[in-house]
Amino acid sequence: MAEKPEVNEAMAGVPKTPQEINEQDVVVSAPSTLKTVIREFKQDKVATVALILLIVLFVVVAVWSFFIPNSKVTDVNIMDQYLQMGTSGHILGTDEQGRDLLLMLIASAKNSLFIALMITIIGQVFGIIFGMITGYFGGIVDTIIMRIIDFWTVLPFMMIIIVLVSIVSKYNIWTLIGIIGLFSWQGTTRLIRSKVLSESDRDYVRASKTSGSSNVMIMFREVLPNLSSIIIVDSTLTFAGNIGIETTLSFLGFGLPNGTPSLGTMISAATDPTVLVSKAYVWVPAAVFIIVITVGISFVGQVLRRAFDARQRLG
Amino acid sequence: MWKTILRRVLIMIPQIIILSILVFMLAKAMPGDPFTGSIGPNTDPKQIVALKRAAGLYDPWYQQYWHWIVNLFHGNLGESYTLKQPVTAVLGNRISNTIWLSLLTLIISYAVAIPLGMTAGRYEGSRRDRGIVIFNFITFGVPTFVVFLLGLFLFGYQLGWFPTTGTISADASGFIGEALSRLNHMILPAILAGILGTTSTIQYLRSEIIDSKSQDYVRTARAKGVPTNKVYSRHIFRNSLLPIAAFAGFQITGLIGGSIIVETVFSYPGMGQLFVSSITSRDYSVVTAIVLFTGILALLGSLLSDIIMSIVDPRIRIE
Amino acid sequence: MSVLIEIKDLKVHYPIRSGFWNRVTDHVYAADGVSFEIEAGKTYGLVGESGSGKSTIGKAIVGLEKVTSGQILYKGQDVSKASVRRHMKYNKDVQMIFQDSLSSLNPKKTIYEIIAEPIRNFENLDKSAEKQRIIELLEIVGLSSNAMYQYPHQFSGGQRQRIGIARAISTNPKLIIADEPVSALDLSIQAQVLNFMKKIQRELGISFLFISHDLGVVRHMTENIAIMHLGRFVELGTREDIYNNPQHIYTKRLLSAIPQIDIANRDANKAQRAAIEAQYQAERQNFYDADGLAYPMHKITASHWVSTPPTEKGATK
Repeated sequence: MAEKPEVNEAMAGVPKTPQEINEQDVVVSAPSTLKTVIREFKQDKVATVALILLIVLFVVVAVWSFFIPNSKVTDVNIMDQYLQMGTSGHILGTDEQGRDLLLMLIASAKNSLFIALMITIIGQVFGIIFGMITGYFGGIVDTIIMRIIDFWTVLPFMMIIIVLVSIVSKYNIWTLIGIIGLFSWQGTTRLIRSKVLSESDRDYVRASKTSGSSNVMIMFREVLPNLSSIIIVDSTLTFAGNIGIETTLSFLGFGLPNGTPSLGTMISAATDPTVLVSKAYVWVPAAVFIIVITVGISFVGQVLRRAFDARQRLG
Repeated sequence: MWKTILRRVLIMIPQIIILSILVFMLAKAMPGDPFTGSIGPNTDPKQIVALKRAAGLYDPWYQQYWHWIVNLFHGNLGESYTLKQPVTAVLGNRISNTIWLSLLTLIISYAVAIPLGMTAGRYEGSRRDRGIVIFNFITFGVPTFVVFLLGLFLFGYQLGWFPTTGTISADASGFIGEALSRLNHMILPAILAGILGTTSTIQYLRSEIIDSKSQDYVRTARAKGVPTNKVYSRHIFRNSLLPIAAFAGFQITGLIGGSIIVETVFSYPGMGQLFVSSITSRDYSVVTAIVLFTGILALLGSLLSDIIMSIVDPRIRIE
Repeated sequence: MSVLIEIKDLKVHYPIRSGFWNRVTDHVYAADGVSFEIEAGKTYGLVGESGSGKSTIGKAIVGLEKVTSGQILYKGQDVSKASVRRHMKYNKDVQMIFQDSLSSLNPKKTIYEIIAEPIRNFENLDKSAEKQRIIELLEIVGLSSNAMYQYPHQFSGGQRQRIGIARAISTNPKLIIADEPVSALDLSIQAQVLNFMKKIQRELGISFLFISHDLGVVRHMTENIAIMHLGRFVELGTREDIYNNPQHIYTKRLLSAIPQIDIANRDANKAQRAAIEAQYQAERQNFYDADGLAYPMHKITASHWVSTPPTEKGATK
């Protein structure tokens, strides 16, 4: 036993009982993820305000839209056309069809947010699955999927979406979600892939293999939790982007079908120069709403990104 | 390096073939055919069938595809259903309008993004940097059409600084006069689109400069006693800028794809506006041509970017 | 003693791709024709410089590296195939301890979940038995049961490596491959972890394959030692064979490189190192073939094998 001097010297200082060892080399634990996120928000007043504003808006839209009867957003009432703000009980005034703009705004916001949310979920689910597979297995599967993504990313997706929207026969909210969803997975796939590539090279994955776990178990039970932070950031940021895509399409007239109000459709009233100039109250509230929501989400997303990426942290 | 470029060009061939098949399939799925416009209500249905058969519309899809490709190579993109003109004639003018607008946008975008990105990276954590980062969040998140509309409303109508529609005033005369009038019509959309297009450039430049600050070659230059300004202008700037130049290929294809939105809002008669109006009037031969053209342009843009990157960044060459 | 695992002419080659079509143009010979046996309950050291392929062999045995050719025989079956390994629950019996203790523990899992993973996959224990087993394992490696509910980053490097050991022994394996288990640790902690491993090896009668570049550590830990160079074995023998009677020029050179704290004879030691280096340079071509690779090994005593040119001695193997 006494062959190696330094081993024995070191042994002299080593305590014998487990309790003593624990006390001797306890490491100060790193702060939890949640604490880091809270601290980052405290450092960034603008983002905190954005977060609170977003929560309030989401809650108001979600709850209020529940109580708006469908007739309020579909019925035409020419007598009340283009009422100014605050006249005869219409706080934001009325539009060309005489519908109350505040109710329209709430109902539109609900639709736009819902669609953006669904597209984000589709994009994340497929992006995570493809990214996991391509990053984890590598090789020929990786080459093929990445080639497809390179091609798919370059395509003029807005044009193709518009063409598809105009030729699909049974057109409704779900077909729109499906069509936009076709172009919502490739960015996430690329992101997840690069992260999985670096995670797969860590020894805990090898340890799981020697512990008898199958590839599917390793991918989704071991590796996936380690991607949670980038998935949260990515879904936040793509959510903002998807609101932009849906409202843009609706604005151009290729978004939500008639009878389903969208923020984009509300703003498209402004393509008529007289509405744009002299009836700004028709479209400006919806435009401001979109700006507040999307910019707010991107603020929150960036704070989350900073919180999860130690290199970019503020405090 | 030549190997990388050649391989990259070879990859492009199947990409273009797949794109053409995709566009052909979309075209086939679109309602209507070349006779939709020319056939009156009194035409004999049997005659229509005969005409369609003669035009090869009942052939198997691969024969039709081949026929279509051969026509493409002869510059024959079909005829516009509504305008009764060859598609190439309809497109020509519109494409040049769009390309001019996109180029001006790109120039403005870089003119704004490069100084901002440099400042943010150099003075990381300062008040200026935070301001630029916040500016970046805004341009990242906000949908472009909202900004265009607000800009048009404010600068076009309320302040009356810029024209609000078209490409040229009716009273413009002479080469200089026409050129100035065209520029005047492009400037507001180009400024707004340019500013909104700065996001990725600023972000890339900022993080690239922050990274290079701690790199050995910068430390060496500093240790040698090179003045700070020179370290930035000579060493960091040059290294960070080349990749930005390479992204121009992607940027411009993005701008041409995004022309749908700018041109709709500003009633600018370019390809994007033509696309929207053709979709609305169901003029599908024009739509097909625009999608194909934009797609090929996008593939060429990414090819260009990849080639420049492989020249600039030797790490990409290995593979 | 009975043979536990037999490695026969193991080769692990990595393809090198190049040229226009990315064809396979050459190979890296990480392990190139390695044969040896591991007996039950004995300890083996695998020594070599970095890049010599020692880790590759360890990973191939445990099933983490694809074997190009050759066999790894366990209970009469060739476990170089993944299907065979899965079918016979091979990894229940053969486990691994990794070099980087932080990287080898999943940061998002509690210690309980980490140690429970092999138990759940290989043994059928109910909840309370599983918990009992984990407490017992933590006790063996000297950690209190409170550790179960904590995460890897809350522990020090030495503690984490002991958690890695607890995981490796959780299914009562017959062989543990330890790939440089202490080289990432502080010297004082190294001793602590090594002694834990040694104690566990003796008490549980597990075979150990200890991979290291540190001859001192290997001498402390193992009874049999193999010296590796450029993907091949150059010498194999008991601890006494290797340390007292090194035959291969590379072994001699490695041994002379062990730092010695012997100030009185400093000049003598230095001269001896220089002499061995001179001998190495002079006799090098005798020990390596035209490609600079080691020759196959031949038996010189019952336990001692050395790589020598085929002409010098009759081929005994």
